[in-house]
Amino acid sequence: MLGQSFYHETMRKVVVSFGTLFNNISIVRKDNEGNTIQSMKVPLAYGPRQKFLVRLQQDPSLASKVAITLPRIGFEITGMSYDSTRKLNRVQKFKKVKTGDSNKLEMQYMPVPYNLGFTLYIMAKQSDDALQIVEQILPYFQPDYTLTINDMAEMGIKKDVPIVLNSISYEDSYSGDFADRQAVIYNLDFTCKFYLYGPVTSQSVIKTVQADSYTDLPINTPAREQRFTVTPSPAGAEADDDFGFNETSSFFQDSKTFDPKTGQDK
Amino acid sequence: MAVNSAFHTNNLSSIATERSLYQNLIKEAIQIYGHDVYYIDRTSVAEDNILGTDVLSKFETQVPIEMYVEDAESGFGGDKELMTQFGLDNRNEITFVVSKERFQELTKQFQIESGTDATSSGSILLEDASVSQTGNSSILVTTTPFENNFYLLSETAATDADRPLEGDVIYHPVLDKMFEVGFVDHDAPFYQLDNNPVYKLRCRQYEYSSEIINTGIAAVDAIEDDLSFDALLYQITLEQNSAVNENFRLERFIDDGLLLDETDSDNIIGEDDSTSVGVSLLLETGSYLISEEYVVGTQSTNTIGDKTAQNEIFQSQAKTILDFSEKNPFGDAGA
Repeated sequence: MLGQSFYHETMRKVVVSFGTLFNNISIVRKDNEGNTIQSMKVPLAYGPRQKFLVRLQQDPSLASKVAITLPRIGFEITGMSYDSTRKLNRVQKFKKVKTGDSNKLEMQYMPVPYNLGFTLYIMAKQSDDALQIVEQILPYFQPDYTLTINDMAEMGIKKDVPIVLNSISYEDSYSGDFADRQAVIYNLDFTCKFYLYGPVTSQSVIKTVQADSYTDLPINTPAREQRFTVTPSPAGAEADDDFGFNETSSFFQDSKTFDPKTGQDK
Repeated sequence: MAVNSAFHTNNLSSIATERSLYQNLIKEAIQIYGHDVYYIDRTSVAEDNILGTDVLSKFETQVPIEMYVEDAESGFGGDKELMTQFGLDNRNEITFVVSKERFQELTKQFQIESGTDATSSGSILLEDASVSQTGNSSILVTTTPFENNFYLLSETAATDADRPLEGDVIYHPVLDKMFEVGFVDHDAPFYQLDNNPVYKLRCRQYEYSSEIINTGIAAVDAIEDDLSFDALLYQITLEQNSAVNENFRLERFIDDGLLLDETDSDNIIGEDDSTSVGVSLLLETGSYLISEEYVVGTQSTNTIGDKTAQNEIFQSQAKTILDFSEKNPFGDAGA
């Protein structure tokens, strides 16, 4: 029943947008005199990738000399839920002239509001590296940061999508056995308030509207007496033109009625 | 009840010859069953007295020494290869056993003071033919018998302070991996002849954080070349190969091709520093020009460091996704 194939890549776009927020974070390392000795961009990657791809990308020849390179940032989708507080009127529609065919109109119902959960993971070897990264992120979220996303480019729709920082947790496994690995990891939980769109349908543009008036009830099979017709002005106007309307009233006494199947008066 | 006097003197400690035999047997066993590895010292550079870290510690001195890998029947210990939210994490663990006597021989080598010769690996190697290397001197000891090299050693007796240190790293050439010493186990086996002839180094595969590695061992130094994210390694430097104050010259020159000062039309010359060779181009703001080769996260062959990073991929994809046509009152990220 629902199987109309469509895919707007909305969540993929949200993932790219979220990743772009954090793709240009740099840290510096200074000596005790305050001179900058190292400066580096922090690598970022979407976490849930296929295992075989990760294995083949990072250690294809089993020659990796080190365990991992740090610092680094990873993120993943953690959940999705309907957001009833942003519910829109479900019968309203977006309409747009079809690209390449101005006699067609594309139509789409209002999008559905959803919240997409993200967790951003920041891992560093030293506390100072991690603190630099976190400090460059937190001031931008009060508690939200809004991006404008072309989430439905086919219909020319763009939405302001707030990304809300919900919580921060921190783990530093410094205590315990000396042989155990020490990891400094910050977890930042976000909610991205985006919309999901349904299918786009197209229909021909209505260029004539005709209403017939009768002087009796339908049970008495009356003939039309008056016809009100509206057409665009100029007549050759297309849907994306600037046009007006011609309104015509016609009166009949020929006892005919309009046949919608043939479009003729009979 | 007293201890056996054939092995102990005055009921307190074992006979020195027995201890020496025990120690030599273990040393020989390690030399038979072990591998030559590189023990690399960590040099602390900028210790943070507040957070207790040293983000700039570096590795520049190394020494080859034989070590035995303990309990390796089923390969590495630890969790081995793991998939995490950060990608592949090699959580290999390994325990190296090193002879205490052999290690302390190495720590007794005279070290070159830090900063006096940055290109040497730290200890003073005797030149061939400067001394007879056939005779045995009390202070002339070979420490790498396979290479027949000789070093100057201090006459001061080694102590347990001359031990492997947590934080130092070990590069195993056969495994082609680098391990960080997490803990130095100094009491196993437990005083069987009133001495402990070995250190057991509990190690895990090294987590690299763009530290400076300049050991003189090509395979080890390649780690920094391949994996460091330090942008300052990609500074654009002047090409002159001698200490001269050189004019800036245009590559496709007009007239004599020199850059002129706008105010007085004098030639613009490089930094007035007759001691620097190949100095970096420093902008007026104090920043450096970085080569376009510094690219992070394209998942292609030209990306530096980790091949799975996606920084540049997100940047290019977002050009058609993020909209900046209108002023956003809540933020101005991107581009």
